[in-house]
Amino acid sequence: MSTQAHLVDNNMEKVARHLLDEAMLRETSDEKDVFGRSVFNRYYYATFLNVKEGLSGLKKEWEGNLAHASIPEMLRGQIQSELKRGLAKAKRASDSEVASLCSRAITATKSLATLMEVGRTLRVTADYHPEVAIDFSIGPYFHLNEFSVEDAKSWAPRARIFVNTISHAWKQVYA
Amino acid sequence: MLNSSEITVFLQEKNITVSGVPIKDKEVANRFFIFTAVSRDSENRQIPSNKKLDEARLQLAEHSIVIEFLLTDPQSRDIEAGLRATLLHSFGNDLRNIFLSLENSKASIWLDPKRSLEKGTLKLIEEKSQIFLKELEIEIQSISLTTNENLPGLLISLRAIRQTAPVDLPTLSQELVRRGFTIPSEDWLRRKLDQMRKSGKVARLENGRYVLTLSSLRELGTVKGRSSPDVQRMLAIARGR
Repeated sequence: MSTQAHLVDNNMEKVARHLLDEAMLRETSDEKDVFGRSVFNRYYYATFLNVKEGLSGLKKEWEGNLAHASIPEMLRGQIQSELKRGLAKAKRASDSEVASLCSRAITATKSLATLMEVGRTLRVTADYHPEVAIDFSIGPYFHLNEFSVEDAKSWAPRARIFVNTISHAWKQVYA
Repeated sequence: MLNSSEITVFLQEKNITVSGVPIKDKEVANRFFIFTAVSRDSENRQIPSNKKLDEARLQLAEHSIVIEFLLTDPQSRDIEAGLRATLLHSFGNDLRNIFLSLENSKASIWLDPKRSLEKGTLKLIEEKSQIFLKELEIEIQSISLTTNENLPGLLISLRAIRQTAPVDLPTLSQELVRRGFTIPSEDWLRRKLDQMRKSGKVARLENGRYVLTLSSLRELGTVKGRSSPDVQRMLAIARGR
């Protein structure tokens, strides 16, 4: 998979944006709620697809083998450890550019792990907790469990930047 | 068994603020995700502290409730929004988006550029970010740029040479391409090898082939097992036959 693929919007984000527009246009609160929670769901899946595709490329055994719940744990565990090893190797070889890239990638694993946890929890809220209603009282769009849909909109582009950094560092050490 | 509202009350009594409502997991029974807003005191300590959160977690475990705290930082979100507005105002033609990771008053800035940025522009972006963050007593730890650049760095070039040595220029170029890198030209690679030779990383043999120096071999180190560079070298030699 090319790195370029990480940097472009995926189709799921287009679906989410369409649903967001629909949620704002709907007139009954029931319909607004259903469309609104679907937006959070689709933005999470858009993010998950980008992350899954990016991380699958790091190791053969991870190809098509990444579960939602395991991603944060993997980022904080295996991936971070390998990058720390890469950082040590780069320092030993006096490769300051790759050492700096590995440091940034380690920060990216932490941020991406948190992002995926928050995203997944809001996806679970949207899908399985109808008692937590979508709140349209705070503009300009809407909130779910006090998270703005604008946060959700930023998940995928944010994740793509983190994955891009992790993939680049990984390749410079383990290709 | 405590329900969602009772968990909120329990945590609030311990001065742990719950954002929104606790969310019951669908996969693990009695597990709840709790969004908790954190802030920093004047000495930059997290409030509520991790110790306090761990104590609450253990006390709830006695009621057979598993808690996963998801810490949110509203202040950090505001800082990111401020930095984004500042940078997009000045560099709207260069940047698509800006994100921020904040840890202990140190900021990692992530830039999504619209086009390849010149060093001068990047410097100006850094200066502007510094001015904005300094007001908030935040230090820049790193600025990262998404990039499609795919050139091999020093470490991976040394590893490729180690595996294929003694190696001539075209073979090394092929090896790096096989590993997924772009080699702009053989001349580019020759210059890179020259730099490595001058810094004592590689030696050029009389027949024009390259090998690692002893110090490079020591710096790269080795491991036992399947991923050992010695095993990889044997496999590479076998592939070349």
